Amino acid sequence: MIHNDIQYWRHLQSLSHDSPDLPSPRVCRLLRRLFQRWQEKPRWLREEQVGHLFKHLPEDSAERRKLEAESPAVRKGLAVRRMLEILIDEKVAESAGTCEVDPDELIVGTMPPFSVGQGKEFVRYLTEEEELKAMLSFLNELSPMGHIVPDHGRVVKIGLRKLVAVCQERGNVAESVRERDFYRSVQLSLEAVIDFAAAYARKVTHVMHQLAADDPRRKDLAETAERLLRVPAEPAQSFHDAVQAIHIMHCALHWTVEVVPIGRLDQILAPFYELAPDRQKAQEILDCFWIKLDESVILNFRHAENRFTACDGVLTGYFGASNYDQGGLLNQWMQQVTIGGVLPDDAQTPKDACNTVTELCLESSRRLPLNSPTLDLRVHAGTPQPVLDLAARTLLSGGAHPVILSDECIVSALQKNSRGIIPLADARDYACDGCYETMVAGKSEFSFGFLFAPQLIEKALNRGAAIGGAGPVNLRGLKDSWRSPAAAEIRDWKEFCQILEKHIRLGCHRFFHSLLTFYGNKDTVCPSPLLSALIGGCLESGRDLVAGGATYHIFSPLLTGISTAVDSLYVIKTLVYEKRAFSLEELVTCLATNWGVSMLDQKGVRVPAHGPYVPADRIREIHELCCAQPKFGFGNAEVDELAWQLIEVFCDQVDDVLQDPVHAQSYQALKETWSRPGKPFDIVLAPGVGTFEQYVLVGSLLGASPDGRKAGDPVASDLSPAPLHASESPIPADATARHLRTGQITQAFASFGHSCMERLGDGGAVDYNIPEDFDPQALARLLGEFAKGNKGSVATFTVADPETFRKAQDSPEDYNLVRVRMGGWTEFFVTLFPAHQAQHSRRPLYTS
Amino acid sequence: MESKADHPQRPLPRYDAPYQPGITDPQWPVAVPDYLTEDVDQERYRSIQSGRVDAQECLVAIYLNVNVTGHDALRDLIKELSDYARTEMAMPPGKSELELWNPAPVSRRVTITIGFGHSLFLSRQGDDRFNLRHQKPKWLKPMQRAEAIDDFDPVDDETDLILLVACDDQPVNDRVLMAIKDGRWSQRNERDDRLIFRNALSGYQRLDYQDHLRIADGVNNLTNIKGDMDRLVYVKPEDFEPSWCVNGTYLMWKRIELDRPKWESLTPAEQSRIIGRDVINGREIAGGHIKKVQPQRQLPDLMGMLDRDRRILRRGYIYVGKGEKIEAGRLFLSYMKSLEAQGEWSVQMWQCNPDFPTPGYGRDPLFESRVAQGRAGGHYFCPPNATGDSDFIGSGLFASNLIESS
Repeated sequence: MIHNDIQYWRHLQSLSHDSPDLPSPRVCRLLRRLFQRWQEKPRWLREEQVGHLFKHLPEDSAERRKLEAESPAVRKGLAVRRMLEILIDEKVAESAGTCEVDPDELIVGTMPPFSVGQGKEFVRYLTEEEELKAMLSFLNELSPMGHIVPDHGRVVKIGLRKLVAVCQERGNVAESVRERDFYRSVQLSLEAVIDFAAAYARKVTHVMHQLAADDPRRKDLAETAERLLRVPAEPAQSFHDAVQAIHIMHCALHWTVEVVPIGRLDQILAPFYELAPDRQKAQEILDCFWIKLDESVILNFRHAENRFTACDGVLTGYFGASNYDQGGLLNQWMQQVTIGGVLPDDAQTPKDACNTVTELCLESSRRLPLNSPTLDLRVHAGTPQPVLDLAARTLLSGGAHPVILSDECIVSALQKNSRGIIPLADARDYACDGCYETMVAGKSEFSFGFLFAPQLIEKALNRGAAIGGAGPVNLRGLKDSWRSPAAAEIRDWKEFCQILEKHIRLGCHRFFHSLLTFYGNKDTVCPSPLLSALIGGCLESGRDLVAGGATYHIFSPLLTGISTAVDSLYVIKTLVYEKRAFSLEELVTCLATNWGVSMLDQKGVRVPAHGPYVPADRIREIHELCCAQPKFGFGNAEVDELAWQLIEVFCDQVDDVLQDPVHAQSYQALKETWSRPGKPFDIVLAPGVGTFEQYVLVGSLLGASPDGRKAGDPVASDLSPAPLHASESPIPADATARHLRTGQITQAFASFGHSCMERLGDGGAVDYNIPEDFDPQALARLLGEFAKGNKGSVATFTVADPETFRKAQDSPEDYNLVRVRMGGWTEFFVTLFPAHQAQHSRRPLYTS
Repeated sequence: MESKADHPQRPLPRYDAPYQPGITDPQWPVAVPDYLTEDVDQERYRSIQSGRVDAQECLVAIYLNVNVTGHDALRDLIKELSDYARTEMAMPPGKSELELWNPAPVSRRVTITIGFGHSLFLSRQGDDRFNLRHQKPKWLKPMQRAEAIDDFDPVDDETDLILLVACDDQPVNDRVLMAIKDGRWSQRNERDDRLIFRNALSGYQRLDYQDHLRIADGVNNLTNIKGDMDRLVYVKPEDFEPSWCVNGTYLMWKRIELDRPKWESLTPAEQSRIIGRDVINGREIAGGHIKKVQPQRQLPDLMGMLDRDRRILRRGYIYVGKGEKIEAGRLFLSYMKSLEAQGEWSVQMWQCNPDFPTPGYGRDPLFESRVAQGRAGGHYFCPPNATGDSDFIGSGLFASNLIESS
């Protein structure tokens, strides 16, 4: 595997000119420049360059009064237009790099440096009164979360001018001011994108004129300029048109704070591929597109910005400041490209959807050492073997993608979760959102919330209090749930499970309650007119996607830290209740003292701040015993069954909350508020398990756990097996094994081969680390097994030896192309903060 | 008939060119001078002088950091430094000295070339100290370690500025060096501490361009006979650099220690294999250093570029270092319009690549044999020349405050 850029170029240089592995000279040149960019601190728009729509105008000016009098929706449309105009301003472009064209580019459009972790800038448009009111709900103009799959099929098949016409027609006959303003805001936004593309056409022409008269690239640039005057305004007429149209729209969305993925690219582009001059040219166009999507990488965390406000990218239905693991998200732009899978129809037997563009996407990801776009390959029993073979080779090139998603599992889950709301054809048309969240492409709004499984166990053990807060301040811990029976009173395993279930139930109810309470609060603050134009249901219903406009409303409660929870449950079940190695009370003291670390000194004796006294030696003894227990994810049925039961209980509770009378009134009120004639509003709850990149943050909020993990240490990503504890060295000192915790993928598949996985409508990703010498054919066979179903819902593969991680920490420049799966996308290992790097190093190593 | 006394002396620096003095000048005219009437002289001129740089006899490279805060203070500093350089370059030989010469030199051919380091735009730690990051030359970046040929960490040699002072009279260089080091270079009455002296290295040039190994570095160097030197050294508008960089150039420098005793202990055959040329008759032989650094293949490479378009201008000097262990070698100075496509490419993809030009070829034998060893190095960008007396080197960098726009 190639570890750094110099190795990469030397490898390419060693290839013959006609090698299929060698990108075109143009692509090589663009890549070379891209690598240089990655080494540098990206240029950012300054806050004052972006400014406010009208605050700079005199208070008594007619223009200002006119703007203030418009609705926030219309002002948002105007802000979108203003933002896109700012980007192409010559001076702004020169200082902030907002509109750059390289003469080698076949696809143009500069992506913003905004990332989910670094934040963003956008033209403000609220009045001061509106700002204050919004801030009470932790909202502002930067609150749109994007995070849903737009329908780029509309862009390439219909074109924006036609969508503008639709807005004009419908706006003219709108029944309400609100509806009229919605259409106006969409129209303003779409027209702004058409102008944005035209401005790029001028920029391309300018660049062309700077080239020597005999430069062969002049012809390509002239065509690009002409193309941008046609698309995305009009429908695409070629493969090149379609890719360019998608990219410029993608740029416009990201610059206007809608951080979104691409969708089912191979399905969107397939009709246009038929018009492509040849496969080689189509590959070059796609390679150029891939490069554009990876322009904003930083390889040095010191180059990061943090433009966050308290209100950025607020999850729909959430109340509170949006502080998540921003440091873990430096290069995350949610640019997922979904390929493969089955065709979106209702046929009894699903038909494979793979086409030539599927292969081109895999080839781009295999040959170009990028982290974005993250490629998601949907597989099913009928996925062609050549696609699986290519996927295996792509994975082993080291990019930690494609992510492999089981259609057998997810299509079924989406349908089942929806209680009939999502028909089979639409369930079959799912695509991945910003990480891997699965939703109906181009028709869904989406949000999620976390339930921390290890913390639910803490509450079950600790009378409703989180153990992380145990100590002199909060005594037994942070009270957050029912005051359930004390550990000493919990007689048996069955009773413990019942108590745990009760805490899980409360967590699910709270999630739903929050959703019912806060749904729709973005409508008057931060609507999403541009994105709404690409989400099915919005233009049809005259509603923004944040106001019930989308066809589907999918919300995912996510049970996180499952492997830590399951490993802990196994300890409780076997060591406490079966073997009686120690009591539950003793265990609570062990955890409340963080396995003895945070005991207090009282007259020379180490004591817990609160609760039953357990001597330090005894705690150490119990800790060693707990650490030595088998773990989830290695095919041990006794442990794995606990995971399946936990997931079943969680999904049952999610199902139940929708029916529970406690929410009946507010649920009904919500439906009435957002339903439209002929378009009833209802919610789909799609349970999931995603931590995404937040395995460090989640862990930091948790107390010590019965599996031996210390307080604050990271948990596993998503549904992955737990990493080693932070105190354990991944590489055994005696070098008897490559990694201290190893397993076989076939064993792991058994751990995830249960029907409960089909209840996770949001998917349940398992992140495997595999060695660099993994046999490609063996991996392809494993992917084939996975495709048949019953091996889990989502599987990802990071290819890196433990020794590689160790060396990369010591010598980052020699490993600047090593990429890892973050739980939701691919990241360069060297960019990660040390806590993340260490967690990746501690993940188990799986072999064939 | 023209007398020998009427023959032009060595070419003079060009102070009014769009390019900074001391990079591609002084330069011999491309056309054979009229005073060379014999065929043999004309041929000799064409082969070793025509359109080539005639480097001054001595040089001192001065490495500096800046000790100012903010964009405007940096601009003032650079302006004053540029003015100082202009004054020094314009200074005629001292009268008392002139009287001792016969014939008296018209010029000491002083050039002072200023280069900006990466850290001026972005520090190692990622800080944009002077709000200049958006103006950084596209390819300017810290030098990467090249362990195959070098024995140093370029981090240790990074500085904000470099001054390359060249002339035919060592005392001039020494005076400039001491003025800079002692903070007496500017018009300030007190010691000027805005420049922090980091290091300096002096070198000299032999008329035959031979170094300590008695190898002439120059035969295959760039010339302007077909305009190659200007074409490959200076940034053009079509290079899509920030506009202030046009007519500027990148500098890649290295201090390369040459182990003369070791070299001389080798047989001619061994020396020939290392160099890739028969040291007796000059015939090219398979393998060796020359093929690694000047492959001259006829077909475009994977980037669609020809090897000849990756050539750089080499303007090296011989040095003998001071200290307990006297180190001798070549102060390798090279100029190019793209660090990435020229200097860096030739180091990473050719010189240090064990599989170039053929699998198993090995790394550059000159360095692999430890006859040569890189000891220090770095990258700079040398801005275009000032356009008049009121202008200064690098003024374009400060010309407009783009940040305040819009």
